[in-house]
Amino acid sequence: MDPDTGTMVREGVDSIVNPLDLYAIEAALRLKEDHGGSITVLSMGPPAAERALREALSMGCDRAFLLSDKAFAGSDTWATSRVLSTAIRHCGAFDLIITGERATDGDTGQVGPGIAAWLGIPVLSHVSQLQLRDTSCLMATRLTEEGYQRLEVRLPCVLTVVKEIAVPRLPTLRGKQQARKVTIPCLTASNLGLDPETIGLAGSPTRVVKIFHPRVAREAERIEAREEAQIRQAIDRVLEVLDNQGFLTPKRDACDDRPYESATQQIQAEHALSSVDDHARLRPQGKKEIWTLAEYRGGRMDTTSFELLARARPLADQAGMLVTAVALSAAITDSDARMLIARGADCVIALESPCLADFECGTWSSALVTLARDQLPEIILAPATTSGRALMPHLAIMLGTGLTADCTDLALDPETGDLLQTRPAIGGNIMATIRTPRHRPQMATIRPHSTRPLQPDTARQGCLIRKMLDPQPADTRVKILGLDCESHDFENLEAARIVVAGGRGLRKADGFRHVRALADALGAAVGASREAVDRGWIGYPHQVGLSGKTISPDLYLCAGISGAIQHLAGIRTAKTIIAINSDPHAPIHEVANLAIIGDLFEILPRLTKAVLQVRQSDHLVAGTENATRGDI
Amino acid sequence: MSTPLQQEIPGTSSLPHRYGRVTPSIMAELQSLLGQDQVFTDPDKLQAYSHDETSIEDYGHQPEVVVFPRSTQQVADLVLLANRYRIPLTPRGAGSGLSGGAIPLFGGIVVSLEKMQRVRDIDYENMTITVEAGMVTNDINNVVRDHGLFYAGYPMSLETCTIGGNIAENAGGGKAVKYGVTSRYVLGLELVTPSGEVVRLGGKLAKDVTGYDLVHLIVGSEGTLGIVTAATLRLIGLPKATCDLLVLYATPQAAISSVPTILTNGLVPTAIEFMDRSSVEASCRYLNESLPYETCGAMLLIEMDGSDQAQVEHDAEAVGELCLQQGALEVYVADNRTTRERVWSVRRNIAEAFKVYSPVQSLEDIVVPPARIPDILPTLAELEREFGITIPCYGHAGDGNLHATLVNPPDMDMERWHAVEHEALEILYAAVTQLGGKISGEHGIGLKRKRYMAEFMDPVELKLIKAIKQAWDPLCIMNPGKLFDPE
Repeated sequence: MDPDTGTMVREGVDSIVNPLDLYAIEAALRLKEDHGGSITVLSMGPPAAERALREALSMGCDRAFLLSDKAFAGSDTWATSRVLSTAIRHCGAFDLIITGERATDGDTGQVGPGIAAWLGIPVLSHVSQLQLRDTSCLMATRLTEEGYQRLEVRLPCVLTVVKEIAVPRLPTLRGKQQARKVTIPCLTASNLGLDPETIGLAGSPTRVVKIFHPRVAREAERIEAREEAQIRQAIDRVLEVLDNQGFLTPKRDACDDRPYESATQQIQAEHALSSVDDHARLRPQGKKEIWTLAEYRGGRMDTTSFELLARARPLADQAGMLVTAVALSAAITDSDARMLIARGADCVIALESPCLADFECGTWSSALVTLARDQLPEIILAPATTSGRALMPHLAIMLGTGLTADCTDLALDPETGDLLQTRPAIGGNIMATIRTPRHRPQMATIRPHSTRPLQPDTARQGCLIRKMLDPQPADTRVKILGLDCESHDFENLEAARIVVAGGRGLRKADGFRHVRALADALGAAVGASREAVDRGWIGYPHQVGLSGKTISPDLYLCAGISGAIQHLAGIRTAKTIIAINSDPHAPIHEVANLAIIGDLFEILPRLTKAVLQVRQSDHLVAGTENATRGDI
Repeated sequence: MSTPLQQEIPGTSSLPHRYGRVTPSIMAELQSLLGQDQVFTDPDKLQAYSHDETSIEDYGHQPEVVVFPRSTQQVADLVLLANRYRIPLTPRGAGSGLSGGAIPLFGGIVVSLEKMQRVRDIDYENMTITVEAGMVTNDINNVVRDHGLFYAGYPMSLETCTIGGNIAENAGGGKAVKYGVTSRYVLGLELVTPSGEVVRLGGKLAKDVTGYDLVHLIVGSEGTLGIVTAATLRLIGLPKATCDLLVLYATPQAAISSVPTILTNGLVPTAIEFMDRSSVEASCRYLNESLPYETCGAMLLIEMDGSDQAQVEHDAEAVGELCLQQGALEVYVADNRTTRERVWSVRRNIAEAFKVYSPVQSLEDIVVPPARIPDILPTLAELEREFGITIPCYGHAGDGNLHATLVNPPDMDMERWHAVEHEALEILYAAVTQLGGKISGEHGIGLKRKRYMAEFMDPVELKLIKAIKQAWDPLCIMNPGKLFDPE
């Protein structure tokens, strides 16, 4: 990292194809094998990036362009997508643009949707399957938190693909020899007719204020669990930790457990929502606003909607701003709006239209563009979910402003009042604080579950503004066909309070039986390391880490995971980590709060049994109480 | 496991008078020599130091005490004490050995050198580093990498092994075709002899014929001739560019046959790793690897390295062309971090893949003249047929060193398995000897192979080895029972 600009120094680094872009290349190669056509590969980077382009050519791509110019250096995702989209136009006609889901260094995932916004074509993010229906139409499957969304999209369009799409091929000797013969033209800013002031560091709306190393201060406790007595002791200790944190006897804490229903009931009882007529009084004109996005997931308002309010509320109080929750759906109920107000919103804008029932990036983006241009919010926050991370970069391009991905901390600069957006980068090895000094709104996506919703305050007052979208049509180029969800693969890892995960130490697919049993006993979601997923033992939706999901559960209990740095990147913000691994030198033990050195096949089943016993005895107690009450 | 002194050790019951026991008063002496916190007798520690990477059931044996000296002087004091009371000593590095070399067969004291891991000297002008024996070999490269230097005697066990253990076993590894094995890089040694004297052998010298070459007698002596406390190692320039080829062949013979062709063409790969069909299949299945392994009978993994990327790629291409001329089905090229990791993981996961199928295995380490490898393959196929076992075969083809692994079928009981293992090894070692080969190339004899060494080694050579041992260690307290049974 450059200590002055906070941008990445790309010179002198072994230039490889971003591992996630290899999936994009492979997807393109398979389309070409089945349907013909030609593949052009573009890379923006220093001259050394030519090596990465040759690798792509050796895999079977037809031609390559290197976008290299000092003026490109220091580009943020806004400027990068601007340069790339200009170059794409420059290179001639195209039918399909495929990108990796994100880069494993910057880890934003913003460039793909950004390109689509610049080019004015549809974008599907997180595509896991695709099939060309005819020369103008493509069937695709998107991997979302809820399941596999099936869509149909007209060409041209942009796809960002995930690892499930295809296993990349290895280049062959013949391919390498072929690739060496190809000339790779280098395109500069002047070739592309780009004003250097509008690209690179100069043209980037965002600025890195500082970079620093995250402080990981975990209490560490190690237990050797090889002999019988030690194993018993280890299991007792795990139970103790679980119990101390309330995982064995789930408290009926409205905030923690079921933020949605219980709190709604309270508010309905109190009639906290003022009438819509109070709009003017409650939403004073001239006050700056922080917008938070409210999303529905599986027909319910998603917890992330409340988490965003918890982020926005203190900032708004500090600077005298209003917090406005913007909810998009087919229909938004009053009680949902009340919930948002009770959780910190001053105002709820309900954008309602049948075409907003399901997430479609272009449709949602254009609905919000109209609203944002009209009302000029100071800040827009969205969850860093699959939809948020596609929508926001698209919206940022449309609004001509900067965006910071996957923030874990927000603050206001005491001098300028600018939003200071702090996010992990390079696999969480560094933290970067980013500012958008000259552009408004300031936009950020926030890592799900990295904060807690506020306790619902039934006395809070707020207003609800319903906006029926004008018959502003959905993007007709995209048609949503349906959602497939197999319950176990889609248990929403990101939102789970407890995740039990397994890795290579499980030895085979059957080993996940032990992980699943403990997860079921604890009411937890199941995670996995990349190695376990790559070996085909469990599906990609379970993958945790740099090339999978980044999660922040209250408890991460993993067995047979060594803790490669890429995996640790995905769990750095977990509150408590318990690791079971027989290798005393496994890096996972270095980050775990409780490190158990022992055989998982010995420990997991017994731990599961112990958890079930504790829980069962609690149920008995609870059952008795109910019975007594019933009698009275 | 029973306590060490009560256990009957096969072949040792006739020697009860030879060794003293670690009595409470000797314990007190040890504690005053080393400090109380460096002397351990708790059962967990004794258990942990009772085995290496060989099967604990077959070879494990508990010491009476484990000690952690922190200086050469402390080691020398320990050895003098052991001389006074005739206590057997077993030097130990990281315990990642594959022949039982660090197992205290007669109880006594395990001398772990883990706490001696300082760098004593880095001499950039002479390109040497002097380190204590407990230094993790991998860490040597971490220390010198920034100066553009490289320690090349680097075995496969990657993160854990120590330089002392490497020296004791003369460890080889994946890069031996070009760089040779540990002994090539050991210039000097600091040794505590079995009688407790400290001697410095060799030095930062490119040449040295002053007397017998004792440095290289010690390297590979499995800790039976003294305790190495420090070593001066040769460093070379760090190769900056690497390129790997993964080459698919229809048959193992086709794969193996192209090795001499490559080597005689003046191209010097860093590594030529061979993987037979069952190795490749097990590993690829285990990894869910999509390479077209079903259609191939064997693979070679060939690594080229050097200081110039273009030159390395050019050489790799020449090797790839040779392989294609030799009938290779396909040549994959991995010249960056992502793809190199992918092709090497096929090789590295073979052992693990087979452990999933059956944890009971005998990892062999046969070595034959490199060009004779094709001749050993029919023997392996025959053993598979005759005994109904699987013998995946993989290893360092460029060195003629193959890790044929006898895998116990999950349904075979242990008694039958031990009989089969012995019979099969007899046949295998006879065939290896016939080809001018030896029973171990880089793992060592230790406990595991000593009965076979006695059988297959020239009796005159064995007599000389025993004579050396007798001269160096007349009390036979230095790692007794390794290589051969004490008389």
